[in-house]
Amino acid sequence: MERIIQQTDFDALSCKLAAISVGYLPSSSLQRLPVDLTRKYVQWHRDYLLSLKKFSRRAFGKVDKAIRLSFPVMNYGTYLRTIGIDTAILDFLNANEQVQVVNMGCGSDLRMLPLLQMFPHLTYVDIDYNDSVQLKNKILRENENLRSTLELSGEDATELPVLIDHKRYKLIACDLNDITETTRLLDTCTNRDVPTVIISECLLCYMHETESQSLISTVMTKYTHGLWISYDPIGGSQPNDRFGTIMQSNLKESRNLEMPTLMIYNSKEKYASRWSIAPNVIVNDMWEVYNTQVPEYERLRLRSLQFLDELEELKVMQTHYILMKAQW
Amino acid sequence: MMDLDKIIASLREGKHIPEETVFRLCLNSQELLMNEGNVTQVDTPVTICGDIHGQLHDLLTLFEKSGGVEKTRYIFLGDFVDRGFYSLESFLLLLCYKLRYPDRITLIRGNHETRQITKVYGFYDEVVRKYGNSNVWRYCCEVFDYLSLGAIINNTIFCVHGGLSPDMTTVDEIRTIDRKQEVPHEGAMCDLLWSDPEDVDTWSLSPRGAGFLFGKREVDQFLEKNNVELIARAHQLVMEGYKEMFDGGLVTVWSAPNYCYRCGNVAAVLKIDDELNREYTIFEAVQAQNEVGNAIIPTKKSQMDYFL
Repeated sequence: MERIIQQTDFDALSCKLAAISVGYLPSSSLQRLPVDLTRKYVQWHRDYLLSLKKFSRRAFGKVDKAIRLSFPVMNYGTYLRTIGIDTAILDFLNANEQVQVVNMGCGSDLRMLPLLQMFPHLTYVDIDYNDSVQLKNKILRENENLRSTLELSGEDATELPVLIDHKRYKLIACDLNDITETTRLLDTCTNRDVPTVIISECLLCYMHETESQSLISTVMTKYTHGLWISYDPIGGSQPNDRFGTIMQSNLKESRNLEMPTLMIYNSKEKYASRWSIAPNVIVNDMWEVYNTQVPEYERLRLRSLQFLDELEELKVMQTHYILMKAQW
Repeated sequence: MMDLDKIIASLREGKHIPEETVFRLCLNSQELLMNEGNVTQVDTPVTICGDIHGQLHDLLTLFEKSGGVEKTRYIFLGDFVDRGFYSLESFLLLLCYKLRYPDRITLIRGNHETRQITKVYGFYDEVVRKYGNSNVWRYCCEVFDYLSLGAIINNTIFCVHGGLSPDMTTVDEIRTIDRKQEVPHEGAMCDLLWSDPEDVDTWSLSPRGAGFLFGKREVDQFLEKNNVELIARAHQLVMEGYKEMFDGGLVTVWSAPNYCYRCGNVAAVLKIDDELNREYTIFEAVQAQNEVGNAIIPTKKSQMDYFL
């Protein structure tokens, strides 16, 4: 199961690279990127893919093919997921002087690169399964551009489980189902009194109910002030809504992937109820994010990239993915 | 002459059709379609079908649930290709039926029956995957250019893929379009294939980037001016399979159940009888099986269907 879940990172990476190759991302306005970082954003992702090729030709082949076959409806979804999470992070970073970000289940995500450049007081921790971060570590150290951006040396200077132990960026191997180990590592790498952003982007959906709740409660009580940003699919709660059950059977049949809580937390409200101890919880489905957070000029820009002949399908899909923000 | 029945049998099982056969099918289809007007006259009784999108299993179910082409007259409102895994087989099957039973099947062009859109939405890639080159895609695109833009049933029901155009408000004007071309990015021909009905006061820009949104006022004017009762169109996914709007003056028919193998919707076809009564048949996505219960055509699950 662990390996099957890790493979989903290549889906996320493919989607991100596809959205970049067509021009959906970066969104310099919503991701608030200065001109030089807009250019670098594209280059970092390209470099990551090229570097991936050196370590796993198989993964590269899969990703490279998927990039070319990505439909507009998927590019829109990737765009929404990315700007939704980034906007929430940026708002918090702008409101607090010193911040630490912990990206749980980080996979190949590269959002630490622009953020570390934009916010000099930021520290950033990436955590994921051992195999995932091992690959990420190799890729980041192999490519000169990525390496110098993070001020890394070319060799594996550090040892498991902390693969990168830079002053402002740490890359850590950890099974987030193991709450004891997770707690221990967070204690060594983060400061509980610094305002903390926790990101879980398609992480909790693969965990079982008990483990995910334990992770949420433990992490929330650890930090004095924090913002939890979570993006996940929800199964749908309306009568006749079959999206979730079809999703479960498709994923099971095609790749033996399970989403144990998809039908348990099948609505926005049920999903967000897991953070109910936080005083301030906002949850939106991604269709709402599209309609409220994407300004008209940005929609015009997206429309000019590809014909979107799938508005109804976009709505069906995006109402089944949510962005939850819990602040305490 | 080609053995159409044999090709039909192969297509129904999703089997590979030689390039040379596809070439001849497309050529013969062009000759047949060339003689049709932009707006084909069709008599009742007739069954109106919406988007298919390469879901061959479901197209077979559609025929099974609605009588079959041997006994029933059909109008297909376009979007035969793209998105599903069997765009080629679905389109060729419809062409074979058209050649075999010319007066029983009318094919209208949808906005996906174009070179530009099929390159983005899957048909082009499907052909290259199946043949190693794009020749078959090119033959099919040549046929697309000859498809009708609409149909009119008993001079009372106007059928079109998308909707209305502010540039042409009568059926007679639509008959004057030179349709034998790639669908332009604007103008009446584009609008007929791209527009959507919506709760708007007047013509508005479409969020799709082509065509227009039109409201009850535009529909009422079109119905009155052309002395028709109903506009039957497809183009938009409807979770319940069909949706009547504007006091029954317009209907959307959607015939691809569980669209893209993940939307969870049901599909519908609309039968119009000699008294112009409307009868909807709803059907769901099922795996097409042979007599011993094995899947005839494998369903292929794409890797990029979900955000993971």
